[in-house]
Amino acid sequence: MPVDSFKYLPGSIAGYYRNLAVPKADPIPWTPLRKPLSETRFALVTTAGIYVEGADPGFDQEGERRNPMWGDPTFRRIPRDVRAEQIGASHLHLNNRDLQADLNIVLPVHRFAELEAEGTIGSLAPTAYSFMGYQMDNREWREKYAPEVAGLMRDEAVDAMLLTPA
Amino acid sequence: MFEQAGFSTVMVTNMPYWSEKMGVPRTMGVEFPYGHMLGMPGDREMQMTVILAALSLLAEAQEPGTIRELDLEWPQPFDEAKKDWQPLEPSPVVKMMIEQRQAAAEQARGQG
Repeated sequence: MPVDSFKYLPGSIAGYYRNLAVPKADPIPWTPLRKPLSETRFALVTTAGIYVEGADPGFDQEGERRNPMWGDPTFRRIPRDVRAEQIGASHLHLNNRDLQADLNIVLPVHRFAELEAEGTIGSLAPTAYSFMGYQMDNREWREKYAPEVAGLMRDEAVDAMLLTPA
Repeated sequence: MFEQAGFSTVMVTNMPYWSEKMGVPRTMGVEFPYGHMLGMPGDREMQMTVILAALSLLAEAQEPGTIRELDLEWPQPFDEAKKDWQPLEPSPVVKMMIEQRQAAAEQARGQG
């Protein structure tokens, strides 16, 4: 059964999305996986707008309330050994209850630590990354913050990434 | 962006429609509510099923734009799941749209 991409959206938003013209990447960017999974080092990236409470501020919700067409394009680092109770969430387009109950539904640090321990993957990098997914204009994200994250991942010798949008 | 920087990526999303439109390198489609791309909270087995499917796709995909879909049903009743993922108060942009619609309706009434 094919996935219905609009199943969980309110009707008005689904209609808006269906009519939205977006440019298709040409060519689609491609980096082949160079190693078997058992030797590959992974980083996890989510756009669920989570952060570590006490270590970093949340994403700028007030800025978005002042200008509803703007979303905070910055990122937060999440250490792989983060504890569930340290996770803060500032995505105004989601009910954050479930991801605060179990981080693994958006950022599967515990599942990947298990895959690392059993040898299915090579390793999980020390740092995961969180963006906030509501970005009507992604220019700043594309030109500034995503390259910064790419640099940080290179420093940790990352090969591959699991992306979980929200 | 990340692929151009030399990383291999796999995305798990409930909107493979966008992946097809925009050209995402590797997509694992799931029919799950927003904010729950890897499954139900507390359900380790379900989360692992999704993750292992994504990793297989990453290892096996031979060409850019590969989309696979996972045939796994969301365990919650639809109406409940559709309501549960949404924020308790409307997001700023939805609030703005509601206010604009109300203002337009009031103006139409005033003219009528």
